[in-house]
Amino acid sequence: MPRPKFQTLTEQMYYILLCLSKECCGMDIMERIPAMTGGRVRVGSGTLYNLLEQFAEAGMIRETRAEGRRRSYVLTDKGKEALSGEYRRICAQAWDYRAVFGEEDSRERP
Amino acid sequence: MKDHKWDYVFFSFYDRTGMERHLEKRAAQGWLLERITNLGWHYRRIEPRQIHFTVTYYLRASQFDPEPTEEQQEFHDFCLQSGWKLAAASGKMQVFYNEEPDPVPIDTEPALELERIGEMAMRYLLAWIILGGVGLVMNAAWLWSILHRPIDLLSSATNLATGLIWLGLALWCVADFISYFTWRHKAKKAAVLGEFVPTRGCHRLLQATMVMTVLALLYILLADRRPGFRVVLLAMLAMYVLLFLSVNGVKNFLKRRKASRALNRGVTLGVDVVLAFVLTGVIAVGVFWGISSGLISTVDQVVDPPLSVEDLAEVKDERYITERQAEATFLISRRNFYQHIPYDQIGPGDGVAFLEYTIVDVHVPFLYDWCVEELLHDRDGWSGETDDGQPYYQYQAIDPAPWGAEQAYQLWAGGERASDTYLVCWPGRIVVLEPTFELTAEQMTLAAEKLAP
Repeated sequence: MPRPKFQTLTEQMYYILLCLSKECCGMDIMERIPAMTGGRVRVGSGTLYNLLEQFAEAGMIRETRAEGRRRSYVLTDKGKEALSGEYRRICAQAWDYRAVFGEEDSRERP
Repeated sequence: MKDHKWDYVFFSFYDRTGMERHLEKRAAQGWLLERITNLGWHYRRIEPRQIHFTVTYYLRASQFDPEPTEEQQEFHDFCLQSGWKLAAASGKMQVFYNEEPDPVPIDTEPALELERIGEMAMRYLLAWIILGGVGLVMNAAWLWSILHRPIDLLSSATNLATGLIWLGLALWCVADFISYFTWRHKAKKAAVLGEFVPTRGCHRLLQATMVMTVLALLYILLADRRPGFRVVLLAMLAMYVLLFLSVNGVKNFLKRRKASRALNRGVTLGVDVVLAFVLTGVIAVGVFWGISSGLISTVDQVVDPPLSVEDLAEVKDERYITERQAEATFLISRRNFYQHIPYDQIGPGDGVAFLEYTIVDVHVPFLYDWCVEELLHDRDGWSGETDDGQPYYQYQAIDPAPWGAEQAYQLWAGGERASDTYLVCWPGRIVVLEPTFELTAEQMTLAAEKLAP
């Protein structure tokens, strides 16, 4: 079963929303995510374009500016809520991991 | 050396993997896609090299747009930013290429791709259902006819060829439908894990169907014995080409004139419908005229039939005419001869004899028994049934010796009265002989000499 839309966030959704914690041009997100994750996460241009559209439709981000075809967005309260929900979920997973393998094993940055 | 070339490809709409591999192969051969039209894919020559391609769909685009919308251009800008250049677009389908060795794909979220292709599939669903449904019904009818009416079906080049076309179309339609939903099922499961599943369309089957369609049409043109019918078929093909070119011409003209999407769609569809009705009307009138004037007819007059009333009854009458109706394929040929005197030339009290017979030559042995069965039960539906529920007209086996045949039958009416109709079976040939007079043993032998293979 595919997951219900935006109930949980995929890694790509998570980082797109994270980038939009401050106003940001949609296209620039493509560069920011690899920089933020050390190249671990990359978002395809089509995926980014579609997700921005769907986030905006869902009220999780809003358009702030449009310079020609360059549009900027920022996270809304609903988006923040989804992002923090996902953060808590990831933290809970990390907590569970530490509970099983201990503190030492979990220090290394992925 | 040519700098441009066309490619006629038949990929299913969802088969992005097939299309991408095909375009990558073309680029390695030195051809880069630059335009997609309804007539095919157009390439320009480049240095042969490895190029990555992505086929994706932009669902808000339309083939009636005069140019890409701002939003669509924004999507192209996004792709360009990551090195994906637009090679060509046709309606919703967008083809990008990237010359970097290991580019980030345009789609990195499989669930989104699945959603998009799913929406495209909904648009094709009706066409699948209609074409597949009609194809299956036509094939069921065709199979029934092969088993029960093989002579009617397989002696006619048109029936045989159109049956093959429907068979190919139905097979492709069903295979494509199954292939899409199999892919979708796998892709749904994989999307949960963030994985993509390569598509696998049925373009080879569609290619084979198209080739078979062309061959079948050529076969009809060459094998159908009605010269008028060839004209009708060519006119129908020309009508289709005219319709196709007109509709595309109108659409492209309005696009060049920057007409809005709604206006272009309305006018193009209007032209399509009106032209289809007008051309269908023209063909229908032509066919009626052809039939009424005798141009489109399988019937012609012959002066030297294999067997005549004169041969059997030793009468000489200048008023006799013999009409022949003939159809043939490489499987079965059927010739029907009818010798008679036109009714307006028969005087009161004239005791004239008529003669009708059908010669069926079966060129493929395994069809022989089916053909005999068809002829034996040809009249089962005539004049209802007898009291015991049996058909009123039934053939009964008679001695084949006078005919020099393997089997011979005589038609009986109501199980009581023998008629003058005979069914005679020689190897590879079956004859139904229907004189309007009773045959003597000598006449049977004479008829057999004339009609045996």
